[in-house]
Order: sequence, then C-alpha cells, then structure tokens
Amino acid sequence: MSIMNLLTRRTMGMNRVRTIVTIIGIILSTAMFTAVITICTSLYGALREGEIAQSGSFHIHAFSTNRETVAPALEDGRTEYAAFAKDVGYAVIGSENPNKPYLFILAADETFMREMPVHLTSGRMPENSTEVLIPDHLYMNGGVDIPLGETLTLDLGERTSAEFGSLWQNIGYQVGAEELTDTVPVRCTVVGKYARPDFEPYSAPGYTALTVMDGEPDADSAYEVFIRVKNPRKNYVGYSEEHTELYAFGSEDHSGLLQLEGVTRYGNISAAITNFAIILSVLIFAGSVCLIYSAFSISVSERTKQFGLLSSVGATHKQIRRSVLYEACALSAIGIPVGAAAGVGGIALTLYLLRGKFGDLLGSSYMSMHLAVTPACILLAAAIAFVTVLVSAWIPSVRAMRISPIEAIRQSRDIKAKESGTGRPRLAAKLFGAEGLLADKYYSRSRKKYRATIISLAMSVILFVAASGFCLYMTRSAASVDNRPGFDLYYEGVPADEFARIRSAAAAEGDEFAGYSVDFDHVMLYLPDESTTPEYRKYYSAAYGDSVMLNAYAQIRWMDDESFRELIKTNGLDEAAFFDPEHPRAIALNHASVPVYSPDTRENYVFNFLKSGVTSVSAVRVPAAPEGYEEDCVAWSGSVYGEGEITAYYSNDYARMNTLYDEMGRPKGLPTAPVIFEECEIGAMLEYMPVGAFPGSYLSLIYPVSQYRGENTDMSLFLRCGDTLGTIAALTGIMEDAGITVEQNRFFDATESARQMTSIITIIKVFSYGFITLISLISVANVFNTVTTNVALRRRDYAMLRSMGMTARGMNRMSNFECLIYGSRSLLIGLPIAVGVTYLVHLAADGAAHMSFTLPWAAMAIAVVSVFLVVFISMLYSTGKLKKDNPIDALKNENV
Amino acid sequence: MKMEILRVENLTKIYGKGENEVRALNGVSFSVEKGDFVAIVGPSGSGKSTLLHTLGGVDRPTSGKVFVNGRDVYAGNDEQIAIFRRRDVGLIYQFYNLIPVLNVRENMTLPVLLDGRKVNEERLSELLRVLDLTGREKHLPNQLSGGQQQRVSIGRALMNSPSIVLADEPTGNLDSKNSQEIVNLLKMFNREYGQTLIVITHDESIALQAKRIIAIEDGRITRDERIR
Repeated sequence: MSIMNLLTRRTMGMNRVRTIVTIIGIILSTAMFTAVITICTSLYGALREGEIAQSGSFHIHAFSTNRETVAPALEDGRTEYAAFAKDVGYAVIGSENPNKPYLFILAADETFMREMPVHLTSGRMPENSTEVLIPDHLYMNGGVDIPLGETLTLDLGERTSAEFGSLWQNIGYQVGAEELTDTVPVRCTVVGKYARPDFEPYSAPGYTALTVMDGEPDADSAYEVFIRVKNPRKNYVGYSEEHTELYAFGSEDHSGLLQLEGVTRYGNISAAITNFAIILSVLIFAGSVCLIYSAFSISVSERTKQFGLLSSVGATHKQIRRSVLYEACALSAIGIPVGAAAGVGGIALTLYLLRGKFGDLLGSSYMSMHLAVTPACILLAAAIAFVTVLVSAWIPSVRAMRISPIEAIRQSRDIKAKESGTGRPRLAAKLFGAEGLLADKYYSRSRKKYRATIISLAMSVILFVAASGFCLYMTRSAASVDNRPGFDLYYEGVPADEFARIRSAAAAEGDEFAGYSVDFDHVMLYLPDESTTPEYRKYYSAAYGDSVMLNAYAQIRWMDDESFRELIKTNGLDEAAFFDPEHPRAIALNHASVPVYSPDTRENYVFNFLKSGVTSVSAVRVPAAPEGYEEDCVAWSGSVYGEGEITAYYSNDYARMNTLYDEMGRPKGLPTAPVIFEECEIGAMLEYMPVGAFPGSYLSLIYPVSQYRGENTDMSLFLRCGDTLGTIAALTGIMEDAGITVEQNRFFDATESARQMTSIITIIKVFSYGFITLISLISVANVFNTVTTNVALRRRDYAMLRSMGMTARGMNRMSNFECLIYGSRSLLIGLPIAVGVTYLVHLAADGAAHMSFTLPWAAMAIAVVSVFLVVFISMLYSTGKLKKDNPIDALKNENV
Repeated sequence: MKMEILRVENLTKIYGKGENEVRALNGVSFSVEKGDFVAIVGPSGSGKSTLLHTLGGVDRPTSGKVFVNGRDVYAGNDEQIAIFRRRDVGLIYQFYNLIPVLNVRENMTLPVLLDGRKVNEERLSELLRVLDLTGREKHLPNQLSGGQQQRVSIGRALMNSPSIVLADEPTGNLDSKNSQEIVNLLKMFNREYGQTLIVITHDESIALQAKRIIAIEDGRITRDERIR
C-alpha cells in the first residue's frame, strides 16, 4: 500500500466516530436510492403483472385473419409467440340477459391458454375439443347454472343478420335482427369454470366458453392471432412497421402493456411513477450530498495542515487528490454494499408487511406487489450513491489544493477576521456574558464551516414539514374521520318485541350498541338567530347564500328505551323528563361536520347548531294544499331572508311547466298559506355522536322508542365492534336462535369501505414516514458530524480559555449559546421555505380534493424541538470529550 | 573546488494589493556554495521566513529567480516543483510539523515514499543512530519529547540527501539544552556529510556557529559576512 493510502487509513482510524458517521451517511443514502428504485421497479412489475393477468401478455392482436396472411410475422425471429384462437360457433343457452343470449365457443391453442388471461376458478383445463371451460358470469350475469362434469348438447351455428351478413363477438346482439344459421349439434363436457375473460368484449352477445383447438392452425380458416414480440423496447416499433400483414383485417395494440414495457412513452402511469422516483431521488441526492459533502469537507479541512505538510515535503497535487479519492472509495466499499442490502431488505420487509393492502391501492384484485430486484437496479443505485460520494469528495479536495502549503500549515485561511455587526454581539454579551460574545464570534468567523450544519438542519426541517404536510393532505383527502358514521355495523329489521332479548344476547358482541326504530321522520325547522350559534350561521350563509327558502331540518329518530336510558345515565340527565307521554322531550345531537363545495373549494364546517340553554326548536308544518295544488316550498315572503312571514307556497304541474316563479324561486301568483309552528322540547343536547348516529347537516332529535306513535315495528341494531365479520356471524346465530329469519343483505358493514381507505392511508403513511425518518437520520448524522468536528478543531482554544480561568459552567454557556445560534439560524431559513413547499404540496394535493390550506403545526413543532435537541446533544457529546483534556497538554500539542 | 548550489536573483515577494501591499522581499540576490552553512538573521517581519519558503519551493515569488543546481526552480509546473521539494530540499520547521498518525520511521521516510522509491535502509538506520532515535521507529509523534520530534523532522529533511536543508527557527520551540543539541546535529551534518544548510534564527548564539551570516531587514539584505 502506498504511503498516501496508509496515511489516509490512519487518519480515518484516528477519527473513528466521524468515519463511522460518514459510512452511516453513505449507507443511508444508498439504502434510500436502492429503496426508491426497488419500489419503482416493483410497482412497474406489479402493474405489468396485473396488466398481463388482466388482459394477457400479447402485443398485437390481429383480427380474424388466416395463417397464410400472417406467415411473414410467424417466420420473423423477433416473434416470441403467436397464439391462435378460432371461433367455433354460437348456441342459444337460455340466459336471463336479453343482450347476451348465446354461449360462444372459442377453440384456442396451447399458447393462448398459457399467455392469455384464462383464470381457472374451479375444475380443470380442457384437454381436447370435446371439453369446455365455461365463464363464471354465465351464472352470475346470465343466471345459467351448469354443474361441472355435465355434458351439453349444443346447436352450434353462425350469427347472421340480413343487414350485415355474418356477425362476430365484437358486434353486439341485434335484437330481433339476427339468427343462428347452419346449426350443427355438438356434444361437449364442462370440465372447468374460469373468470370472465378480458378478451370477451363487454357488449359481446355470447358468453365465451373455451375449448382446445384440434391440431395445428390450417391455412384457410379465420383465426384471432395474438403476437408477442421479443424484447419489445428494442424491436416493437420496427416490427409493427414491417409486418403490415397483421393489420390486413384489422388489429389492436395492447397499449396498456406496451406502455408498461416502455415501448410507448406517453403513458400516464409510467410518467407518474417516474416523476415520483425523480422527485424522491433529487431530494435524497440533495440530502446525501449535503451530508457526505460536509463529512468530506470537514475531513479535508481537518487535513489541510496535513496536506500542506505533505506538499512541503514534495507530495504532488495528484497524490493528495488520490488520497481523498482513496478515502471516498474505502468508505464506499463498506457503505454502498451494506446500504444496497439494507434498501432492498427494507423494501422487502415493507412490502411483506403491507401485503394485501396494495390491491386496494392499485385497484385490481389480480395485482400484488412482489419485490422486483434486478442487478441493473442495484448497480444503478450503487452508481448514483458512488457518484454522490465522488462529487462530495472531489470538491473539497480541489479547494484544499488551491491553498499554498505554507498557508495550509499555518491554517491561516481558517479564520478570517471580519468586522461583525455591532448590535448582535452586544445582545449576545448581555444574554450570555463573555461566553456569549465568544460563541457569536466563533460562529461569525467560521461561518462557512457552519454553513453545512445550518443548511442540513434547514433542509431536514423543510423535508420533514413538507412530507408531514403531504401526509396530512393525502390523509385528509382520502377520508375525513369526522364524517364516519357512529357505528361499525347494523342489522335492519329486528322485530320490536324481540329487540330487548336480542340486544341483551348481543351485549357480548359489541363495545356499544343501540337500537333505533327503522322508521324516521324529517321536519323542517325554523331556527331564529337568537337560538343558533354564530358558527352555524356562518355555515348556513356559506351553504345557502341569499336564499329566502327555509333550509333547516331536523331528523327525528326513536331509540330503544334501554339504550336511551344508558345515554341519559352516561350524560347525567334526569330520566323522568324524557319518558312522559304527555310531554315528549328529545335529546338533540347538536354537533355537525359538513363540507360545503363551491366550484373550486371545499370547506369543512364543524359547528354546533344551537346555543347552549335552548330548550325548544320550532318545527314548521305546512297546512294541507288546496285542491289541485301541492306543496312547493317554504320561504320568507319578503325579498331577503328574515323579511316578511314564513309562508308555505303551493304549485302544480302547470305552474312548473310554465315556470311561474319569481327571481327568488318562489311560485308566483299561486296559493300560499301561513305555516304552523310546533314547538319541539329539547331535554338535553349532546355534542358527540352516540352509537347509530349519522353525521350530516341535520339536527338530530332522538326520543325513546316508547314515545313512537307510528306503525312500523321493526328496529335496527347498531353496533360499534372490532371484528365486524365475526360479529355478523355471531349475531346471525343469536337471531336464528331467537327464531328470526336472518337475511345477510340486511347487515350493513360500515367498516368495509373505511378499511380500504385505511389501507391506502397506511401505505401513504408508511412510505412518507419511512422517507422522513431516513432523511432525518441523514441530517442528524450530518449535524453530529459538523458540530463534533468544529468543536474538536477548537481544542486548543478551549484549553486556552480554560487555562485563562473559564469555568465549566462558562463553557456550557458558550456552547449553549452556539446551539441557540445554529438552531435559530436553521429554523429561520428552514421554516419559511418549509411553509412555501408545504403550500406547493397542498396545491398538488388539492387537485384530488378541495380543502383549505392548513399548516402541519404538529410537525413544525416537532421540527423545532428536534433541531435544538440534535444540536444540543451533538454539542454535549463533543464538549464532553474536550472536558477530559488536560488544558496544558492540549495547549502544548501542536498536532491538533 | 567551490561549487555554486543555490543562486537567488532579484527575488521579490509582494503580499496584498494597493494600500495593503507588503513587500516581504525586495530584490534579494545572493548565492550559496555547496557545503556552506548560512544563518539568516533579522527581526520579525523582516522577510526571512518568506525568503526561506521561496527558496524551498513552497511559496512562489512575485518576481525574480531561484536556481538550485543551476535549475530554475519556478520554471516548472506545480507537479515539477513538488518533485523538486521532494528530492532537492529538506525543510525543518519550528513546530516540527510531523504527521500525527505516522510513526517515526514513516515520518522520516515520507519524502522517499512519496517518490515511490524504496527506502535506503542503510541511510535510515544511520540517521536513526546519529539522531539518537534508534529503538523509537514505531513511536508516534505524541509519544516523543519536543527535542525528539525535532530530531525526527531533521531526519525527514535529510532522508533524501537533498541539495539544501532549510531550517526555519529549528530551535525556537526548545529549551537551551535541546537547542544546542539540535545545533550540534546540524553542524555535524554540515561538517561530516558536507550538507548545505540555511538556517533562519533570531538567536545570535546560534547564528555565530554558522559559517556565514546574512542579515535581512525590510525585505533587503543589509549585511552578508563570512565569519568562518
């Protein structure tokens, strides 16, 4: 080993902590590059696999052509395969679907069976031309149930119409205008069933049954030919231009697959994936360069004196530069393989943990994400990481070369005294005394060195806040938790007289439950301003503007007495007040969360309807309509809301057809009547959703079911429970034991749709927070690196200060003040930019769902606290090391 | 036979520009013969260190020429100057400037190793013996006393048998006993091996042990006398 390399190794060994931190930085960066690339290839892979599973792996589908015509394509070495399928014929099958009366038999060769989307759901594949697969939708759509093993006798024929002649699958059923001709009886056995094939057009008149083609395709018959080209990225374009014979009778490209295989570029999916990868890579690259660059620039500036010395004893620039590169290579040799392994491993683990959730994200049951790793991807990630390291190592080494050896030995470049402003040091001195002044001078005099610290801290703040904002907006647009109903499951239609029994038996199944009469009522309300909250009025004017119509309603529901009593008990109310048949009193659900949409915004209003202390609301009853008229609307009679009288307007078909309305939308010149007000007494108001409540823009009034005067005697059982599927099974058992016939479609599982949302949100969160964590780790490593080195470089200064009588407390004060400077500087730069970037993220996410801009305050608070924490800990670590020094030794030692 | 080993012609070095301009060297010319022992004296700020660094090929002069063995040192590119320093100059500093992570042997043989040549073991062990460093080859600089560290740096300067050895206040950081020991060593190398030496010092007692004294003030030679 050359002396320079030996020297480099020794220096690295001496600064073990910094070397390790740098290696960690390289590991993190490589891991992130690898992760991004792996995720993208895996996603591509999943999409491609999904596309193939959905529609097959072919590139070109030549319509009903013959062997002779496509011969040149078949002989081309670039053809990977050509699959043949032949129309055998149609037979009437007795389907319930009036547009799909036939069973259509398609004979396919082995390649077709293998490469096209034939997904067996039961039975086995056909082995000869007397065996067929029938599609699942023959039963599910057509209602024709044919058991496996049954032998069918079909009168197979050709579809012909007087107008078009022979018809095929792409032409929909011509009701009354087509018939089957030349029918021959054919016997075949159903050996299996398969999922509805994608190659059957939606409007096809026949359910496609598959059988095996006898022998090789012959020269005369017409075939559907499906061709896949080898290495499509390279060959496809030339191939498709040359083989025009494939288009002789019409053809189609498998454009979805061609996009995913990189043949055509304007696919939006691949563009989205690529953009995502590019944005992430740029961010990671910036973070990594920041870290690795500062690590190297410290290493180089630390070694400036060494370089000067070496140079003065005759080392050439080349030798010194090579030494820096040697360091870079040595660190990469350890960091890159570990990082690549960690990246692949991390993604493998993530995909494993999130398995099953990707189907929801990608919207196809055929798709699942598998880890797709190719050596090329790993090499690419390693190469990007290595370039990062090289760039980071090269720049400081070039800078070190510019200094003359003597300057380097004296290290006279390091501190360049400059007059600093007069205001700040005085403030610093006042706050932290002489130590504060010193800290301030250190900072302002070696500002360049600290720039890396400040920038990397600011950068992490930006990335952290922006990523949290991204998470926030995605989560918010994916699902608004506030709008979730107050139950997980309900069953509609428990007979009222059985309800109490079922309820007590079901007690073990849910955390909370309540029964409501299946009957419910709406009443229009008049809510005068005196009784409503300002928030409600704000919502009302946003939602209804200047309308003179009355737009407030209450929903009236009846809760089973036992649950109602529990509700009363939980809220500490007086039971007697609610059960008096003469004076029905309601519990009002006073809370609402309503989105209001306008052409380009969506604002969510959260409010209480009524002021506290309100004891009744006025229900508006419309008097019966005069003969020949019906109720039209209820509105104020004046020209603005609140002016005149609340009046019921009537209209009829004639009025509506002739639009006899005024500019406020009220019927004009037609009968009206004053409305009747009925007071509804309110015994209590709740500001949360009890079980079974639906959130919405209505005030809900709940009465005990014993106050119900209607005729419907069925109740619905609402539950909050953990495992909805388990609960459904249990409830079914309980009700059947009670002699109730249970219909499964009366169960409503509110969590099913929420579950899908949750898995999408989980995926978003896992990736965003994973990314945030890694980026934050990089910055922590970075800050630690710069702070410790800067402090170590000042070892003699510290010793000098201590020898002059600075106390340990004074030293702490000085370093605390320095922490304060770093922290506040980086936040001063980071936070405003973070807000800007977050706003951009908001704009991007806004396309999906309209919402108002809010900052991720929690994330910002975390960022502020973390910044100071990281700086403080790094400082503590490095000054702690110095305190062990004997000041005289440190002073004497020239070779810092 | 007298042989000129170093010739300096009209050497000028200017630092800064305009009002801040400092002429550290102002038209210095002299020559040194092989085997000479020259002391350069002068008050601080007189330009003696600048002169020494210019002679040693580490600080390019603003104008003027330096010839070592008849070759114009600054005519070459940086790489050629580095090679010149490696082979023809030995530099000794006041603060030793050893590389902390290299041991005694590695520090001493650094110029040879940088040259990619094989270490002349015979010369190394003779130097170690003469410098009284035998048995300390594996020590790191921080395990040595100041005098020992300076002896290592002398060994490093002499390892390549350079044309000239330049010493910048070699005893400035040492007590009088160690100082005299270092001066004795330098004298011994001059006498026994005919090593050309140029020493910067402000210590009159050391200067008087040289063969020739050049005094510098304000970047000009004010006195140049042979005392031995």
